Amino acid sequence: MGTLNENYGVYNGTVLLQQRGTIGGSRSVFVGLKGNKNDLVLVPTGGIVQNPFKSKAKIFAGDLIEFIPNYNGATAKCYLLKTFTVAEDVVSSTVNLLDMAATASAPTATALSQNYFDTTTKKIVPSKSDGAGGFEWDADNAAAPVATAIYVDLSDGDKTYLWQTNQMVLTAVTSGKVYIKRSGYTHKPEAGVMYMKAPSTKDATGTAASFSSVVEKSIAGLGDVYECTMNGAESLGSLAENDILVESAATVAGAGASVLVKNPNTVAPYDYDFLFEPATGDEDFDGARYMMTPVLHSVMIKSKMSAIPAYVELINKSLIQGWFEL
Amino acid sequence: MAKYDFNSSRYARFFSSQSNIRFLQTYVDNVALFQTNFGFWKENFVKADTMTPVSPEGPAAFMVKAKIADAAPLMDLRDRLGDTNTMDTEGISFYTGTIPDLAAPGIKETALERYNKELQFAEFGNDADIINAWTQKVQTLKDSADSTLSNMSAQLLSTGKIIWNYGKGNYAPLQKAEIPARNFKSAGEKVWTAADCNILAQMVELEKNYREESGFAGAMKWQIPYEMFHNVLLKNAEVKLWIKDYRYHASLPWEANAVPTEEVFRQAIVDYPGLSPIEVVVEKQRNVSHSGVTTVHGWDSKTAVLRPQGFAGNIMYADLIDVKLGQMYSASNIIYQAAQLEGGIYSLVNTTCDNGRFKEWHTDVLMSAIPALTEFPNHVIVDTTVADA
Repeated sequence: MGTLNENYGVYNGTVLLQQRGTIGGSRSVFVGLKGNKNDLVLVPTGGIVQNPFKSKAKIFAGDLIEFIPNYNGATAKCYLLKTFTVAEDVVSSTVNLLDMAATASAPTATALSQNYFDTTTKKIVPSKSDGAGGFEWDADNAAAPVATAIYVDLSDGDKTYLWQTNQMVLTAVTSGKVYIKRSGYTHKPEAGVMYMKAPSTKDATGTAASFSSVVEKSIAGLGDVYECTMNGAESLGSLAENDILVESAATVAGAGASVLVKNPNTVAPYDYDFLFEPATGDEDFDGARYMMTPVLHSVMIKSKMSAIPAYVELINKSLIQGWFEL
Repeated sequence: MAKYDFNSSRYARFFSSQSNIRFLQTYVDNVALFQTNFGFWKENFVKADTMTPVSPEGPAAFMVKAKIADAAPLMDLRDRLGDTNTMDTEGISFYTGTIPDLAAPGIKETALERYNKELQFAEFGNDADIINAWTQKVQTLKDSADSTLSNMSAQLLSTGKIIWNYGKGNYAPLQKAEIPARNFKSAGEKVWTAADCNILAQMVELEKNYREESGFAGAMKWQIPYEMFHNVLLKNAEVKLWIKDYRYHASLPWEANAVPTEEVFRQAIVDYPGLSPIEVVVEKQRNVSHSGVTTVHGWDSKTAVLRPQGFAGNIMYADLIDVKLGQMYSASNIIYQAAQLEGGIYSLVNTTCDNGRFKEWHTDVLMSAIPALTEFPNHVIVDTTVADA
């Protein structure tokens, strides 16, 4: 009959469909001060959000925003400070089991990752590679295996070299994956966006990398997390539990990257839900452009805010422990 | 000691308590007080019948629809008993858009300035001068709103898009109307500025071809910007020749090389066969940004528009959330007074608030509105600087 219009259509049959969800509770982030507060002081014009979420996601009351007013002929802008807390240590390179073994002669490096001892079948089997150049112990099994690895190097023809490593318990999850804490009050990481470990000062640089996919999971021992798979050979470096990741201004992965939001100077007064796909450029009239108006000042309870990186804590005006004042 | 109580003056009552809520509206409704100095939008668009609601998700979305038409085909030759082939039917074209919020630079009055006015009032016993001065300032705010709508209207008519790159706030593309690709035409055989271009003949040809391909039979008109009309059309050789011949046949005096005036042109052009009426577009606005003050035109200077006669569309408008919040939930030391201008498209908001130990008074004109084209399937945009390939 005609071409499909993706926004409006007719289906001359029955469609059975459900939706479900919860309208969540709330968490009060602003400090209750007795007296007349003057916190909901809105800046003029507001700005266009430069780094909206590409998929359905939200930011929260008390989140920090960098507001740049129109002052040099460019539009007023808002940059959202999105922060992500690492749930578990990540070792960025392959665990070098060889280092743990005393040996007379070293095998070839390839032998290291070739085989391992499967505790279930009690056999030496080819390694379960996760495809990202890493070596995976007992993939997706939350219990860390305790095993003695035996490596057989056949590169010397007749001779074989056996190494018996010390018993070890690996707590690091696979290199190639980063686990980020997830709850009803956390920001959502996205594939294809450059992130980096938050540096200690706003101008310090670090290594930027992106994820190829982000999946919501519940893992015993870790709780609710986002399982983020690194994009190809990109790496965020070694991360420890509770490290904070932020968006990077870099457009390609690699070292020397700066953070995107260097100067958070305003506060989001309430939650904002990003439900529409953002515009891809000036010629995309159909994509969404988000405008928001942050407030200049507020006093917030740190434990109820989104994670605060070290370089942002430096601008905290409050001298009261546990509070953050802008 | 003051002779009269300033707080009961008319001026003070524009800002004061809720019991005088109708006073401001009554004042602005007095049609003689506020003029429309930038009325281009009113000549081309009319206010929408209903306000567009703002969705909780953020956008205030409207939809405009129009029927797509194609010219009717010739009949099929058939045997007496043969059934008819089925006609293809074109659908209804539509586009949706969202309504942005805009604000004129506000008027702010501090307590000391108000005290100064009170002294004047005591001196003269009459607040007419004060009201007069304030009304003129508010007129400037209304002009700001009118010129904004006029600029948007001119952009939409001449390019099919509205892109906002003015002022000291946000810059963003705002709307793109769903004008069919076939409606974007080039100038004709020659560009209109060519010395040997037969502009009138090309205009007639453009219109004739468009009517044939679309089947549109209604009255149409041309809209041409002022500079193009005076510098290109009136100086064109074909136009001058037509006028000379017309005036010769009508026994009116004319000098062959004279540059015609608009009145002379209009008198002569009435008889030109197949040429729809030509309307001259006069619009310009003042842009104040952080890099300086410039004069801008919403109308694309190289574009002539051929469109159906009458209004081109509606001004879609939405509620102003901060006015609603102010009237419902303003803090106890803030007084909000709002009045509607232009039947609700603009809001004039007077706010009394604290600044340190004293009060402060703000007057703002706010608007959540944007023009939308309702005749977009038959809206033809001609680029006069590009000749046909």
